[in-house]
Amino acid sequence: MFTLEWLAERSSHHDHVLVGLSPQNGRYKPEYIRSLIFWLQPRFRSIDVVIPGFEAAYTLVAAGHPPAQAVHRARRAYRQLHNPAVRALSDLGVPDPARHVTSWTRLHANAAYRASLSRSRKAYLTDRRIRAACRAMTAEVVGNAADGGSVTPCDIDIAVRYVIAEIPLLTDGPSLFEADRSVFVYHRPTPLVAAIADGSSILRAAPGQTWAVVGQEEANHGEHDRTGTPAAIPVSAR
Amino acid sequence: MANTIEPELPLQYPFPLGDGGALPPLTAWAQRAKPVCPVRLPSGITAWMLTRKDDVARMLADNRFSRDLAEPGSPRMVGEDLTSVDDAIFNLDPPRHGRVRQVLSGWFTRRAVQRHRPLIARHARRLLDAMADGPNPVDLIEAYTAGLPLDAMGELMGVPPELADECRRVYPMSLDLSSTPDAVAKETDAAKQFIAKLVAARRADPLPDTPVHALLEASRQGVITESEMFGTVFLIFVTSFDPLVAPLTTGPMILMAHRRQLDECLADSSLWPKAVEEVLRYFHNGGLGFPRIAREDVEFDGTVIRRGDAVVVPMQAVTWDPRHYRNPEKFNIHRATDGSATFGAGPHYCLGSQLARIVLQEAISALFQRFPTLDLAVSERELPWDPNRMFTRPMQLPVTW
Repeated sequence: MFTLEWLAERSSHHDHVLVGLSPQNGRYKPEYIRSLIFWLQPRFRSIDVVIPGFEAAYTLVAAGHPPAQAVHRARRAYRQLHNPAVRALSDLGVPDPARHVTSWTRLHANAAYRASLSRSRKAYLTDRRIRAACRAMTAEVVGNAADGGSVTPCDIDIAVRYVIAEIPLLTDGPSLFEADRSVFVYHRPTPLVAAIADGSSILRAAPGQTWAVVGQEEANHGEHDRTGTPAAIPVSAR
Repeated sequence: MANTIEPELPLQYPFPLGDGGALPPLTAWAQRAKPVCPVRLPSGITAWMLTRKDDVARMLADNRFSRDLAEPGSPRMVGEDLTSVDDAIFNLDPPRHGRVRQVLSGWFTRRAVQRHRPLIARHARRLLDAMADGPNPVDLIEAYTAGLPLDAMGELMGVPPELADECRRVYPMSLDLSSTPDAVAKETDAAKQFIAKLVAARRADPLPDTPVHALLEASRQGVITESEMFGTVFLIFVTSFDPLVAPLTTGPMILMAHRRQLDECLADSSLWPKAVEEVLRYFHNGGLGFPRIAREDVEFDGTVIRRGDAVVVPMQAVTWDPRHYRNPEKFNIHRATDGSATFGAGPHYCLGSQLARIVLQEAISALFQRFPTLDLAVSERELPWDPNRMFTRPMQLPVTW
């Protein structure tokens, strides 16, 4: 019921898959997370799932929520993504399943993530294309969180940390997860991946890094997104 | 670790950390079952690890164990780190050690360091003002705990403005246990180059009432050698930054996790020093300390440590020794014991222990007085501890207020 569309078909492999879960998209409900993991896990040698860390709260703060409330919602959203993912891996017989469901915050324990994040921040400050992609994605997320309200450059300055913190997962999956080749799987293409993949920015993907968009053949998710209750953070799409 | 499982020896260092910075289970096992325990260090050498407070105190005060590791080929944690720097106070044995220490000891006494409280409070206030104006939530390390030692200690140590940027590039040193010997040597070389520039700058433009000045004067007067001066400036710079970031981070972390005790401190400011002592006891700022070498055969608990063998100590084991600390796993600011044991024992007892205390007292009290509702922005279980850091701490501490 799922499809996997590789950004470059010739780069497809079965080594390692990294699944990004979003707290801001209504599709990531427990049943969807379970189905997705059940579909992906047998197709790859190893699997990891990543969930945004505290940076997710920035999108709500930028949208006007008080910080303490934003943090509370982000923590709840984290649990709502984390628990079904761990359960799915456990039911699939993956040893030590909790170790394979990681928040961006926990990734800071890894020197490779810290170094990659530092490069990503530098790229945001110095590369026009990366900066534009980060800000465009941030504006969309904050706009959704603000329920169509206006988004100012100041709002984007606050929330762009969220998008930047994800960049290492798009460029350095192989070293972060000790794999020769790693594919980052998300539910839609993003301008950031496009900017990294076409080699026109100063951010370079590590050898073995690839990307794919996962689709669902049966469900009509466009409608689902508009009408469904989002996981915890009230943003309809990202 | 279950009592019934015997780990394979030698233990491989670094050990998996304990939850939330508690004593690593392997260290606790060794303290219980193998008080003189062989441990394979990342460099490949095997050292004896002592974990009981009485054994450690005896060894640290025993001149048969040498700190002099400057010779090439000496046992290292990973590679040519700060223990390879010639004639640094850290690497000297008595009586040379005492002669160099005498030059600095007046500056670091309990009474002498009190005058630096306003300077530390000023830097804390400035950083906290910036934090209040910045994003919320925020990583407290980025906003406060990494910057404060660089700014406050940088001023106290007399870093000239033209070297401030280089100081920030060099420190904190990563002291990464997963690093290669080449990378460690490179990091040490970069710090040596910085110190050479600093020494030249302070010779040209002396700044009295700093440890660097005291060392330069002692060198000029022939009390210590040029090499002892350089090595010791190198050492006090390493210890001014890296080892402070760890307790500045773990201190607020554990106080936020023990809200009732934090509230007691906020209601009665005379409790902040007690809280700092318990932070120092609960978390040593690192895992294993650097090796010492036995100069002759010495017996501990029925095991003979042979001449030439390396010996290492995890100071956190000392302050978690249940023979001396009741329920050591409980964080309790009202303990009768203090954190002194974390600073070592014998002639190499930490010279900066009193300065570290006032930095922590000023910094932690200022933080919570400014942000009394400060709280973790993620679950404590999510905090990213890196077992490969020499000075162990979470690498990010997201907070909100």
